[in-house]
Amino acid sequence: MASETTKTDVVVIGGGPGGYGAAFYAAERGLNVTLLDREGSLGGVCLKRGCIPSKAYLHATQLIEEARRSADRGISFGEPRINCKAMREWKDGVVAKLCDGIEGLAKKRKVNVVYGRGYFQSSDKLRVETEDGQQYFNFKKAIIATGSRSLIPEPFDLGSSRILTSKEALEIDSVPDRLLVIGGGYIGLELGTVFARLGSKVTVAEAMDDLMPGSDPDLVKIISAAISDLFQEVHTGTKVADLSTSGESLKAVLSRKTEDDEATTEEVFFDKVLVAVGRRPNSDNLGLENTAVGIDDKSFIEADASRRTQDENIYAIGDVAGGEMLAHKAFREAHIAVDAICGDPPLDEPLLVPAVVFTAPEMAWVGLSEEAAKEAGHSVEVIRYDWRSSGRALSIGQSTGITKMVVDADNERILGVFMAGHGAGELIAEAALAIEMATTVRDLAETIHAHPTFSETLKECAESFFGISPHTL
Amino acid sequence: MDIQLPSLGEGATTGTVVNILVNEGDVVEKDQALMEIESDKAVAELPSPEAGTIESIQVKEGDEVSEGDVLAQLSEGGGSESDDSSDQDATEEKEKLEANDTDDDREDDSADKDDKENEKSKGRTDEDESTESSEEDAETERGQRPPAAPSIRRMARELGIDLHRVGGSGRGGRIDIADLRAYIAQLKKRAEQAATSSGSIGPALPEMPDPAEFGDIESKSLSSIRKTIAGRLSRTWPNLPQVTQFGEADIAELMELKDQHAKAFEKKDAKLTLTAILLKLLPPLLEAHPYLNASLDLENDAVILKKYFHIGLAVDTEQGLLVPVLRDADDKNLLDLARETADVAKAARDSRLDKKAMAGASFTLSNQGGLGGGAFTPLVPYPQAAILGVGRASERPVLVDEALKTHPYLPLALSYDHRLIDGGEAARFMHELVEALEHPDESLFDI
Repeated sequence: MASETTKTDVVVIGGGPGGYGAAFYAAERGLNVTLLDREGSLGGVCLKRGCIPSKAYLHATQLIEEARRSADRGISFGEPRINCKAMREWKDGVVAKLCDGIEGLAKKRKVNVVYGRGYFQSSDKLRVETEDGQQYFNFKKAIIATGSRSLIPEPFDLGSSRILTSKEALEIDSVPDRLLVIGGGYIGLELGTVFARLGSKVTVAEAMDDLMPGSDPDLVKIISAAISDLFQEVHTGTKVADLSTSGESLKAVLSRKTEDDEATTEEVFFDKVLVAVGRRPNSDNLGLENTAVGIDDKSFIEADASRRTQDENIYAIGDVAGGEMLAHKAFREAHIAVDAICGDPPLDEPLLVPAVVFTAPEMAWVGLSEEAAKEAGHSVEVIRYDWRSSGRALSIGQSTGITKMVVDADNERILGVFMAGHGAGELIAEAALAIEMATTVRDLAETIHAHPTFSETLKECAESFFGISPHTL
Repeated sequence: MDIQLPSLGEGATTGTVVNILVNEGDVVEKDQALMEIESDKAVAELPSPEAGTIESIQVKEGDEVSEGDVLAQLSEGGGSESDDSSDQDATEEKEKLEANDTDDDREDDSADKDDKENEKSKGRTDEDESTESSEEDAETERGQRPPAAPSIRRMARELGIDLHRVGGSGRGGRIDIADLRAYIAQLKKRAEQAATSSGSIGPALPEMPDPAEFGDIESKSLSSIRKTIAGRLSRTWPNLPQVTQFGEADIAELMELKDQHAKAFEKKDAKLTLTAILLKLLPPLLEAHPYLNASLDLENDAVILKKYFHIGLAVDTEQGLLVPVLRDADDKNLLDLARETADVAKAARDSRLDKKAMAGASFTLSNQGGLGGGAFTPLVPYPQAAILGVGRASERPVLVDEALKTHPYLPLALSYDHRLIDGGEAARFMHELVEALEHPDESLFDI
């Protein structure tokens, strides 16, 4: 096999949003860039088996729910007929279109795309195993953007095709009758929602006392109510003590503590199990031991605010470097890393990363929670707006929702915004901009928002700070 | 709040304002130097007790101040002026009221726009600045982004400016591009001020090549006296066009007379020196040439003629040059002058001179003869108009009654403010001085 050594300014390992974002921006800044992906196409988890396909399914299946609900409004439909193959092909089409788009953009920016596995031989040399043999790259700087993968705890890893992670769950070939979702975080709830809408009886088991552990309790309350309606069973404070195959089925032993602090167990049978208990960083098999890159006790690569690792030539961005595992965070970090490589002054502030959970209704937030704001020394005032007062929300039958703002009472700056409700994922953009722009509640209250829209919920919430919200008391 | 003169330490209760480093309306940080106070021989910076805006300055440069005197007024933006929590609440309350005022005045905004723009350039003293006043507060403030848009934050990052230090003029203390510009302008001004104040020396000179490249060096920080001297000269020298008039005097006869009278002085426990003789000779000459005993006041297009003859006497001490002043030299006989010369020189070397003893000279004498110095060009000590430099006399052959003898010749150098004094005036003064030295009147030595 021929092996050659290519010189490149920057080599980016991983073709997800972080990786291609870094490669494109570096190329725009005039650097010679090589972009590696081990999968034969660009896009990463986000495009191929994460954000995009899950949102495609969520959108497609939302219609089923809407159709059911519309009977109340005098419009009835028959039972939906579901063709999993056609649905999957549609989803694949969406994904392929986006992946091709990314590849086209790479070509236009003269980014050298190489498909293969990268392995550091030193702090300036990378070996790449491609289908055509080994290639070597001498780089000035490397950006690791290898992302993360679903974590399957060993007891659940039975080697059965009935046990799914998000990756397999998004390749829907049939609708299981009984589905157990282990993990009540956003992945479990979003995919559970898809299957529940398609007709599965979904049970979710979450070890912590609430769904969406760590999220704002007011939002979780709303989501929990909606999920309880949609799912067959919601078990919080519940562990899956054992999982085993039992003929055509899977037997799960659900264990939870009673009020008397005694453990009760229950055996339940399922057709499929989705394990959504978390994700782990792809920091292994990269040859990091041949560099000065350091990893923490959870295997995340350690990087500073400029995304530089302990190896001065190597940067790390996105899921593999810890923090929120979100594509948009990785994308921003990509630019920060490239700026640092180009010698720009280091970023001296934490990132403001909005988060969206695409359940129905959606939940979204950005900025400081009440507790975090207090901890940071702010005198905090929290204002709330209930969407039942929103004409728009009522008129589309989506009046379950809440907007919360965490405000610095001293200077009236908005520190955090938390929302649950229809379209919250879109509305959060305004909140993120408001915080970035150091907006005060007065600014937001005096910005005219079109009527009747969901965006008014933000304005009215801000107005409530001054006790002048017209539609609430 | 009032900014008072704190204790100056070492028993000193008064000082002189030598430099005011801020202007009214300036936004200052905690511990920023506001003015320089000289006491005895130390020059101390007066730090701002808190962050805020200088409302007014009650003193001017040259003012004598005492411990407890109010030097300036500082208005704090709010936040953390004290640890007293009720104070804090009151401040917060006030801020809220102010915020409401802003809102009520909303309709007038466009009319007030020009005013607002002006205010902007002054910057604002909001909590973001005042919280700099304590480490803890600064720390919590670090947790919050400075109130500015991402584009402004990026610009600040690229310019290396800490936005927490920039006063925002917008609602909630928001920093816009105008605030950033105003802050940069302020930094520039401060840098220029620093360059001309005694705090740092001299206007911008080209960057010094690293002397360590060429061998071992040692860097020592300047003493406060050296800083004062260097700062003053940096300010005055480029602004004071001066010329040095040379002369020399055959002082054989004078020395003879001096030797004859030395005993009488010794009997009275005084040492007769050439310096004392010069101090006796100078007042009548200065009286005849009043512009050499004057100050140029360009601001009022005036020359200030001094009716007194206070002669500054340059004394070389271990700490550096000190210039005690002999007051009313014209009223004193040679014995008085000889004693006083010795007294002030000793006081200077013993660091016993106070500020007063070094103020108010109308003319200065710098005699390097004792140090073996030859001719040199002294620098006019502003705001005086002239200085006489004297070197060591050297023996030169002369023909006296057709016989070859050696006589001591005294090198003289008169530096003068050429804006006030023409060359002719200086030449006449020098000629008369040489005459007085070469043909001394014996009554000079009457005691």
